Amino acid sequence: MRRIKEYQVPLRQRPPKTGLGKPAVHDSAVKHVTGRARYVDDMIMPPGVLHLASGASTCAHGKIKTLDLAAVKASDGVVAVFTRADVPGDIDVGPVYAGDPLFAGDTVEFVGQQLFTVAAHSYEQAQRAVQKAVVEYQPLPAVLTVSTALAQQAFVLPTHTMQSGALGADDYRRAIEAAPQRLCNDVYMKGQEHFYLEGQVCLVCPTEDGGVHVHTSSQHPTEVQKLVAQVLGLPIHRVQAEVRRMGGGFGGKESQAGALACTAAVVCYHTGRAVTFRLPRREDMERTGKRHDFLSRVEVGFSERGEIRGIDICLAGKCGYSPDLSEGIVDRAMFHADNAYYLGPARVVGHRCKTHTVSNTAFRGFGAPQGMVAIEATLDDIARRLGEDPLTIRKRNLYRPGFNTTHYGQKIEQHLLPDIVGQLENSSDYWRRRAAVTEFNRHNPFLKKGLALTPVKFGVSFTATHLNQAGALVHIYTDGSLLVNHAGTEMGQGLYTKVAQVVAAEFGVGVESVQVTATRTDKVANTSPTAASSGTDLNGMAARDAARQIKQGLIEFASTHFAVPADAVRFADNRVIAGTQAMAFAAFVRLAYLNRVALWSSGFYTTPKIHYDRQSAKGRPFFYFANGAAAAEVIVDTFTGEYRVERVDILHDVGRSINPAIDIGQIEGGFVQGMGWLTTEELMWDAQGRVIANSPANYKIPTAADVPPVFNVALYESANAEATIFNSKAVGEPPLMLAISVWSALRDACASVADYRFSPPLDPPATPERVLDALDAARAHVGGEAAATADREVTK
Amino acid sequence: MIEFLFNGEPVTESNLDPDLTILRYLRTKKGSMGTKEGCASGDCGACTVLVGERLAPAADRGIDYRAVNACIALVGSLHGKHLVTVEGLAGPDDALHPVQRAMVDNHASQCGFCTPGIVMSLAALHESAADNNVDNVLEALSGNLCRCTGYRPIIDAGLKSRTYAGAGNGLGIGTGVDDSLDNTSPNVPGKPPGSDFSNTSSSVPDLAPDSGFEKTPGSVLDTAVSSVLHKTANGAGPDNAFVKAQSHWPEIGDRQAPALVSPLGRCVYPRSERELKHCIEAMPAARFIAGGTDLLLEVTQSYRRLPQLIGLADVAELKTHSVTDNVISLGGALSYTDVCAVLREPLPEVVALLHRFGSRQIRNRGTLGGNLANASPIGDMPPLLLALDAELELSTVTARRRVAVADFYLDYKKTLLQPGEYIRRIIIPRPAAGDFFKCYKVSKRFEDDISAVMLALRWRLQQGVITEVCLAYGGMAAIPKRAAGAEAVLLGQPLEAAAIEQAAAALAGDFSPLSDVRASSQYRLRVAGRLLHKAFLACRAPGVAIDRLDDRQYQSPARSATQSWPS
Repeated sequence: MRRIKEYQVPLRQRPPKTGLGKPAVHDSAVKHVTGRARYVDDMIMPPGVLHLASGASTCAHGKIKTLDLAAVKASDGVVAVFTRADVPGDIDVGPVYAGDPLFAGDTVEFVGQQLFTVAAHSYEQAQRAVQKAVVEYQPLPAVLTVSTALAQQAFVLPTHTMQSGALGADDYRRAIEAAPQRLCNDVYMKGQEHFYLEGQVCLVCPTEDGGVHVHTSSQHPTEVQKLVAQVLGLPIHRVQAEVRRMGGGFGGKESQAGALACTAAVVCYHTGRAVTFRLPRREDMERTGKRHDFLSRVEVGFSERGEIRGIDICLAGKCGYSPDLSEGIVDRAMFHADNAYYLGPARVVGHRCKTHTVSNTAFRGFGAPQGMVAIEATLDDIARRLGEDPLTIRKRNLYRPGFNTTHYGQKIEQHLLPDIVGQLENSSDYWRRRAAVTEFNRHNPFLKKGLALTPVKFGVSFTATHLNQAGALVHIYTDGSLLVNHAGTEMGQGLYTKVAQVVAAEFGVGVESVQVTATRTDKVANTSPTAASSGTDLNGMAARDAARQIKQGLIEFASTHFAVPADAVRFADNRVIAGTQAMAFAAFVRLAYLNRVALWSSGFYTTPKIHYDRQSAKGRPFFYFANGAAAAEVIVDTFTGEYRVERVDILHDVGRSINPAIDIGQIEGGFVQGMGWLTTEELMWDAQGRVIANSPANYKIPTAADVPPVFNVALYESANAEATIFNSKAVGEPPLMLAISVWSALRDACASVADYRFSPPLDPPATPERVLDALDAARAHVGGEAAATADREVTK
Repeated sequence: MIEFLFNGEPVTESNLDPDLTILRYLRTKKGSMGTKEGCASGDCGACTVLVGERLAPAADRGIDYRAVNACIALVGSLHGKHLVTVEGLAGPDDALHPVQRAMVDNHASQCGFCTPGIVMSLAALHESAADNNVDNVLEALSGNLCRCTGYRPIIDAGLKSRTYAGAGNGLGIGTGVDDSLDNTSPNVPGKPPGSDFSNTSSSVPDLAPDSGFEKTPGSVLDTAVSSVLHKTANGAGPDNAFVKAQSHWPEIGDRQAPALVSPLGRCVYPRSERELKHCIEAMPAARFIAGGTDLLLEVTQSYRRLPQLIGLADVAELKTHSVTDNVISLGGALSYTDVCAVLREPLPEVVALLHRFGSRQIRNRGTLGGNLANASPIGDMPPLLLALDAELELSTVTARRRVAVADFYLDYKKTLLQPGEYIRRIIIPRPAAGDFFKCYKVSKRFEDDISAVMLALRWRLQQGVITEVCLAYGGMAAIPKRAAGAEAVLLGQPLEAAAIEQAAAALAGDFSPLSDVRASSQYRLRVAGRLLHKAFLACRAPGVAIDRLDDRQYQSPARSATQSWPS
């Protein structure tokens, strides 16, 4: 018999550790730096593969009068052209609600809507052919802004209300009116382009069963599978989707990958050939959804100490032409309109505005950032009104025992933020720096500094409760190597690495013993999207469940085989210890195999405790909250409005960290991405509804030089009180909102020219132009007050 | 036919389309998929590769390696050069390049899609004679976008890459489970491979800034201390493309006017002005291509074909320069990197501004002549040249002429250039003693962003009175333009706040700027005036802190990834 070579673990040099809590490097790090990590467009293309390019609407809203594709068909290298009539099954590819036709019918509803697709021998030939289409439109009135949509009551889904008392009661109104002080504000915050470095792409190959195999860059392979099956009119089991990795997702590949895969699948269905479809950057920016613009309107009543006594918040999201994921996104904005603060009697109303623009979609934070900007703007305004430091006002309003019920009825059970804010206040030296900033501003007429410290409290769980489930598969092979497969996708966040650490820890082996393979719908079925920061919470638990089931069998076997009690069997240091005996893990596995013990298992997990009744808008939608705080200091050039972020200090709560290097990477990366949203990244549309910020030449995400030169990031040491995997906490989204500190610091710098008694409007993104506007508004306020004083003097 | 080295091995190509970019060549012809397409417009850096060029043909040392955006560079331009991609950095058996190891150990990749480009940009710095200090690391990364990491670990990897040189080839893969990590050195979350960081640090070879490369007398690169030069002496690292190339350089020829010919057409890269003229006569319909950083967007964004191309980038006469006490003369095909090297001493203000112009990759490729001929209303160099009263020497096959930059621009994207005429050199009078010269660029983002407003300003004071003034603006009109009305207000006036106020007010008569994706008309006009005030203050009270924004010190984080991990 041939000897099976045991998996080599160099025991001597590297005493194995479970790896949990250790900064293991990303499982693909070496592949990344050598260029060997394969993305969909890097795959070896099957012979005869067809390349697609699609023609899209150039009219925001209109009837198609002419669609002449003769020249397209005749163009060099074109194999065939496909339109709506070629779709064999369902035409609609909406992820939750219908409303997203794969190809436009008689009417187009946004610039960029797909009209037809061209299959050619090369990418360039397909692109050139598309340009030859002749399309004429009969324009219809187009709604392009939130304000127009609100005025016309044009919504993609019904308006939803959350209220701290009973729905329909007016306790919030009475509380506002009874409060000693009141103020109102409006903030219009623009959306954000995902700018994942790898654009949308897929490769669809025919299978021998008349189905298709889809390689996709998607956070939601199950949805891609399901939509492709629907579009082709096939049972789901004929379609499989596979994702090894994405070159960034950020929410932009949660629902947006579906239409691309469905289009390629239709071509594959008709031609029987492999088909690849990749959007060039400009088309990606014009045709796929982005973070929602939001208009927030707040009316707040508060005490002379700045404590919120009652509040009415209206949040209107720019959803675009279809619902897509906007139900959940606007809901999450509403859930986070309190951020970290006890609101008292509150009403939060959410509108889902229909505009003739691309359908906006998930983006890291999923509406929460916009809800938080609304309340943070309000706290700054309260502070200015009262002449207090904004941090003082923020601290007075934090949730605390006795003041711990949210406007949707969930009780805040863990009050970490007073401590986090307090620690950061000290470590960032807030008050000494506040004095220094004020002093600097007094002596510098041309440069102004700003400082702000803002908290984040982010609810973790999908608010669509059924999505809070995951499955996993764990295999142990007879050389002791392990293979893990789970429902989550890898988009750079280190999910595969963390899950490998979890499984390695269960078996007491090194993380290098565990291989995580591509996420495939034929391995783990009916997966939820990798979204809502839930990847590790859900899949880590599912993988641990699978590992524990295998372990149970191994323990029973060891107990019998070595004649020891079950509780004397341990897995540690790459060995299996049974009482006084020990054996290398690989040898033990082989022994178990020869004794016919199952060496693989599936695992499953559902999040406990959560429930939410949307009818009454009450429940416990979140299993727990992730918390953090950031202090940012900026310096502004008052000639031009240009600025720099000079220093940032962050203290963030990830529970007990599974991998602190990965968690810090998420915090730093999320922060900088949020900073981009609030500063230099400006979506621009023209009067016809065309995206004009459509390339990295005119849409500016942060560069290395925008990183704060002093950037201190620390993890708040505290195990999650809820029983999550390793008592860790989700970290994907929450840090993005730490960047609100930068925006607030910019407002602080602008307010300094009005001696902090005026809160200048500064709608995000705070581009240099908008900062200059805010500075001028503050200057005008001072001038206006001076003039008013002079007037009073005269009239006296 | 063209000959070049590809990751150290000689390659010959002849039948390729003239407009084939290096990126499409790598991905569709060579199956070399490590180099990524992120934008195909030279804005994201995911496709960054290195192009190496011998400083002197006879020398087998002293190779100038520069980071280039492969998406907007032509294969034809590679003749006689060395193309290095991410696949070429590591040696056999995963012997990673120091930059690759620093990236892994600093957890500097997340999704990994930008990573090959970032690795190449940092490798360009690592392989150069320049310090990998913060300024140089940030400049090396100025053309690379990363959407995942927030850059902090990437910057740290760049700062530390040289501590990985010469420390052996093994990679501490899986170091995350290694005990030694618990108490690793304060700056390195993973430790440099080999043994303990504290033990190896003493054995890291001394990397003196100027060791190991030869200067070529007379070359622009004499002064280009930040330019990329391969150090063969200290190139401690794996047996990779840089090492392999050394023995193959003699195998790639110095053929005259190398060309690619396909059924679509041809591109030719003349080496001398004589050859250039011959090409112009032979290919009258051809378009000139210098760096191609703008022209090639027609190919990658609009999918147009460029069937006939004449490359200017290798014409020796167009790559020379001279600096005298009075005049700076720059060849039309000098890249911005070269231009910065020449201007560092005579015009430091311009160099400081050019560090915000494009990215490192764009400056390595884009030429001054190409930028001027391209006549973009928002180029940063034309206002500078207007303010300095520069002239252009234009040449056709038969004749040369000199024109003032002020007369060169006719209308949006239209210049004086006739068909077949090229910019031979740019002649810049040096500001006289007593001239006050200042330039400002305003954009949404500091790095690699097109100006919303650009001002280049020069005035001469005699007894406090303005006797000469030039206010040249970019972004304010369809062409780079002087503010005639505002200048008239200032001329003959004492330099006082009131005069500046009036001049700023007069700008509204000089310009009716557009509102576009970069800024509104109102903002442009307002800022145009305020920049005058800023310059006035800089002139009158040079001690006043008004330019602090450009002066910043990056500090490695006090805690961040370097804190002790909770367990």
